[in-house]
Amino acid sequence: MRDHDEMSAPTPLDAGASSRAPRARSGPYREVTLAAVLFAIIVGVVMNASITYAGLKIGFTIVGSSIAAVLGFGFLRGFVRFFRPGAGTVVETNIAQTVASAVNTSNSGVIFTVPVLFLIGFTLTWDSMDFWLITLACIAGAILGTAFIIPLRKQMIDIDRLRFPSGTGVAAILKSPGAGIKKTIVLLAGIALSAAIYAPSGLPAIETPVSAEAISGAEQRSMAELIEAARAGDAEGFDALDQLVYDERLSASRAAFTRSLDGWINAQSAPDQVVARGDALIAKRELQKELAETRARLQVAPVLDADRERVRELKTEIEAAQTELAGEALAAYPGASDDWIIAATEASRGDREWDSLRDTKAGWAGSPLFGYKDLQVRLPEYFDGSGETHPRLDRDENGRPDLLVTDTKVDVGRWLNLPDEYQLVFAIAPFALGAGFITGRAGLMVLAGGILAYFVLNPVAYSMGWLPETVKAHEAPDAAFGSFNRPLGIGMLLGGALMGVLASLPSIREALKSVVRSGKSKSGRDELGIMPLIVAAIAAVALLFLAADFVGNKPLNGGGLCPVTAQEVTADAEPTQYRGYGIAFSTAEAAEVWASSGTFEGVTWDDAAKNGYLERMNAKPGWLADFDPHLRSLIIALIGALWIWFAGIIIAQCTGMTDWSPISGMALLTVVLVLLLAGTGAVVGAVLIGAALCVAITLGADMMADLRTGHLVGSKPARQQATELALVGIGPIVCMLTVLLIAEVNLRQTGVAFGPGTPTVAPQAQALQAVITGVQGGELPYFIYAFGAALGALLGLGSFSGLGVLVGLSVYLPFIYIATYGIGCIANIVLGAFKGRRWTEEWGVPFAAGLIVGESILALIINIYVLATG
Amino acid sequence: MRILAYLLIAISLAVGAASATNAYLWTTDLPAEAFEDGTRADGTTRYVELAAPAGDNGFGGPIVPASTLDARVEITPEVLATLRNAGVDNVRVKNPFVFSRWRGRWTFIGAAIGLVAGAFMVRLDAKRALEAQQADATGDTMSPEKAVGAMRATLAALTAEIDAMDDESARNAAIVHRLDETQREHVPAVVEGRTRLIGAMGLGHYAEFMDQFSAFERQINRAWSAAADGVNHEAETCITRAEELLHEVESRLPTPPAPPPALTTPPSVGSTPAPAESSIASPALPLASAGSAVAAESAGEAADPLADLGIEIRKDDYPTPPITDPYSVQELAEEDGDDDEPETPRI
Repeated sequence: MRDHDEMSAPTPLDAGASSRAPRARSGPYREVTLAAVLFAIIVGVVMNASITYAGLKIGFTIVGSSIAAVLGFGFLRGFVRFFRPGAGTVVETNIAQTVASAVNTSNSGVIFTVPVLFLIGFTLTWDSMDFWLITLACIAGAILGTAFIIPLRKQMIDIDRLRFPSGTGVAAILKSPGAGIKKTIVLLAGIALSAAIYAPSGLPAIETPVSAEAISGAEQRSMAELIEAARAGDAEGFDALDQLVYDERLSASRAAFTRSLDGWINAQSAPDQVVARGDALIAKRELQKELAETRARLQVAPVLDADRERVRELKTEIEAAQTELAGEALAAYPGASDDWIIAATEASRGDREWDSLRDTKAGWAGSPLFGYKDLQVRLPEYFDGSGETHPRLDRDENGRPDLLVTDTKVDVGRWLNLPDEYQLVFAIAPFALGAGFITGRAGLMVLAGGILAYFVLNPVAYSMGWLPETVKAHEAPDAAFGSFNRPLGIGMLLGGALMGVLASLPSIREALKSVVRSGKSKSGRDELGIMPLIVAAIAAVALLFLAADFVGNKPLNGGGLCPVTAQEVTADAEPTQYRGYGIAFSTAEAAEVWASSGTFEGVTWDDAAKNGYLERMNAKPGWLADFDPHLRSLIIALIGALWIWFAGIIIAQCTGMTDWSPISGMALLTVVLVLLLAGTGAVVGAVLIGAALCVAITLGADMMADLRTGHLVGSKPARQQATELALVGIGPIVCMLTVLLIAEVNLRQTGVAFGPGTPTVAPQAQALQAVITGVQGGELPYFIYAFGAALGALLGLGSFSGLGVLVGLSVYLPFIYIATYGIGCIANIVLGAFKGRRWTEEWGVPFAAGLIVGESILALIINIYVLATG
Repeated sequence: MRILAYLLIAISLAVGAASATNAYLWTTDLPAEAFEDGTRADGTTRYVELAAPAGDNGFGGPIVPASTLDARVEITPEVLATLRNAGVDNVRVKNPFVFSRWRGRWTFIGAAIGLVAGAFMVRLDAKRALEAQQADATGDTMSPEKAVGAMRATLAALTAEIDAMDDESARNAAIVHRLDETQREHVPAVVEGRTRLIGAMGLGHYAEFMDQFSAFERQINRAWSAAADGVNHEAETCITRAEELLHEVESRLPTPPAPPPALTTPPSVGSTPAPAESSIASPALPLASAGSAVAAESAGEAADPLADLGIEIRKDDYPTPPITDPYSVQELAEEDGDDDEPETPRI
């Protein structure tokens, strides 16, 4: 089929073209400017903080390049140009967008890893050494990730011509003003459509407190009672809370607490039991605060006996307070968090206004803004004969048929009545649609991997009885994901990437030669050259070593109890090394007992006892246990740097071919690798290297996409790379501080930093936590990873060496996004068949870029609002 | 053969993946001794641990819960008996992996062989397709050589054209318009010729070629951006650099393209008639501008570089034939026949 006639005809300058005749300007071509850099840093910081918050809530992050490109145009071309004619050139905006996304992008690396420390019981504060060491490691990772991309840019963009869908989309945005008004309109149409589609998905994150006037009763009816009332035609009688519960927008327990709270506010008094519990909770928090302060004093010599004694007393008092709180007299109020009870107690004591309790932070119910869920598209009513809704239609067992359309997804599989073990769910994600469209035909391989996992492997495993019998049919996809899809997919990624690297060795060699030649040849004078790469890599490895050495050599029981005396460890005794771990003690005498295998209170501390202690601490010795601690740290830093290079290739290949980055998978492998090298007790060190790696590879992938954009608009890679190298360290600092801020707020409100029970459940960190405990417990299915790697490598023997990467990616990723992405790929192919590939490229890509931008910008605005008000 | 090969790969992949999922799945038919996993320091027998809950107690819970970090559940003879009595056929265990217990080992090996065979068939088919393509050098598709030649011609024409223009806005418009076409038609033609080029040059030389070509392409892209931004001097500098780099690109092609004919008397700004200048300044004037027309007249029909490259110009569309018309190159690109090319899922 021929392309569009309008394009094939030899066209003279038509009206559209004439309207874009550029005005001539003198002076240098603006590229790296102060305005662009300052703007980029500000936008990057805002995006970083808000996307960090969103990522901790939903488990994935959005790319900031397209947002920065659009904002960059608005600011540089609209605002700065007012003062400086000629500002806001295509390449200047490209620099702004490159820097802004570099400052933003480190967040996915941090939030997939660092929160796991909070989940497993470590505490980070802004004045703790660990916090700044992890930040330092992330900065090192950021520099490494950016530096390693220098030779890879040539190989992937110049030679292998990976498409980088987002990068291509951003280039379409940057070129739109010069490409004519029609393309700009197409781009804007894409943005508008995307924002319109995404709005009902994102807006429900914003809640407004339910109006007190809309609450008419003191007792909250259960869902069963509400269903009965609705069937009896009494739905009109629902007040606001009833309706929210009936629509599954609010839990019945939260609604009940809101009614109670409303009663207390009206009466200006809370029940005595609530106030008593609140007082006890406040007292316990005071004790915990004092304990933390006193423990900190034990780590500074000289240690006072009074502090040792006070720690003992405080622990006893806290234990007593805990017992009291668990008792019947101070029983927890149904459906209420400790923070809400404390708020009510403070109001009772006159420490805050009663009306201030009508706030979602104090437990008052919130009503989300309009979302797809409000359409109430449900499975049709069908009873199983007992008068109850058929179980297949009511998986959550609340008596109502389940929703087909929630705020974030559409369950087409259930609508089609597919067997429950098949999952055909589409995410409402215009960005995935746009990325799929720009990827085009190659995206079908990704879709094929998803189909393999969710339509072949999982149903087969379920029907053959390879999953536990307790797993119900509709739980099979999730169960299979944890048991074998994830390891298989990650293994395939690794094998596929390895094959890709082997096949690309000539390209890599040529790319390296070309970088070395840079500055000497005509083609190379725009390149940064090999020296900055070497200097940056050495500096980053040194930073990584420093961070790993400090954190890795911290005592296994630092801040905890002495193995010998079971008392708090103190600064009185020097830690000693045992099988690769530092062990701290409460006193010098206890250290001597350990060192001499002596006896304390009837226990002889021979090797068997010491090994038993390590086992209780889940601290198996690592492969490098016999090395000097500093040498061990150096080896880990070097291996970490090499691994960053390889993982960077994997991620860049993935994003280059599909736009998806399996960062959490790489984080998981990194943590496993470090735990195996350093020992399973070296969790902080493993997370530190994992965080550095994640930051590195996310920045590498982001940088590569920005370089692809730069290539398409003619930016000089050297300028992009140098600017990013200079500013890339800002991102990890912003992100780490945001994580810390959120953790502190959560701790204050819920008593937990991250995870279930907090607004930021940190799903990826939870997955990583499961892996860490899996490694400690010897549960990791290493051979499934290996078999996946073999399959991935063998797939690459055919005509395309990276096929394993494409297929593995979708076996590992949740299918709901792959499904939506697949629609985009198919739309590209269908449109290409009817309108021609050139037409699809010419008009489809700007529209798809608009789809990516629209959702990203709206999500960012919503995140900023929620972060500022939440 | 290609379809057969892909079918074989797909089936092998599915079988291999399904077999891999069973790596830690043991049947309860195994003798109790099979579950022994060494001896502890105190002399007691250690057994393999459960990795997932086993059995269903009828109330949604397992008969035997899975091991956790705090609570290890070993498959002792008693546990095994309980599971067998409850009709449990399989248990998912923790490490160690035992090859002989892996029920999917033979199917996995078969699948691996299938993948290798499928890959071999794909490569064989791709090789044949490549040979056929190279034999059919006169085909309709725009070869990389033709595309490079077209780019040379476009740049030559563009240089002549902008030399003849005084008005910078018009020069910028000309650059944007001409290079737009090069970006859209000629560059993709070179990129899409990857398989053919690798076949002819080998991967190492192809990488060298693409390194140079990308540097050239970036200059073209920068010229476009600078012209679109109205910074004419930068755009023209980039065009000059691009022309230099194109020489290097051409020298690395397996079959160098036919050199474009020299423009005998490139029009200078000073030689451009005044009426033409004023009409060039008008954005509504076609790109087949007065300057081009003068050059065309000077060069004559036979000097048309695209025609020399075997690229047809649809003269009917032009009242005044320009020196070059890169837009008509598109026609050839449309008949690119990408669907018939050896399919590599590159993007």
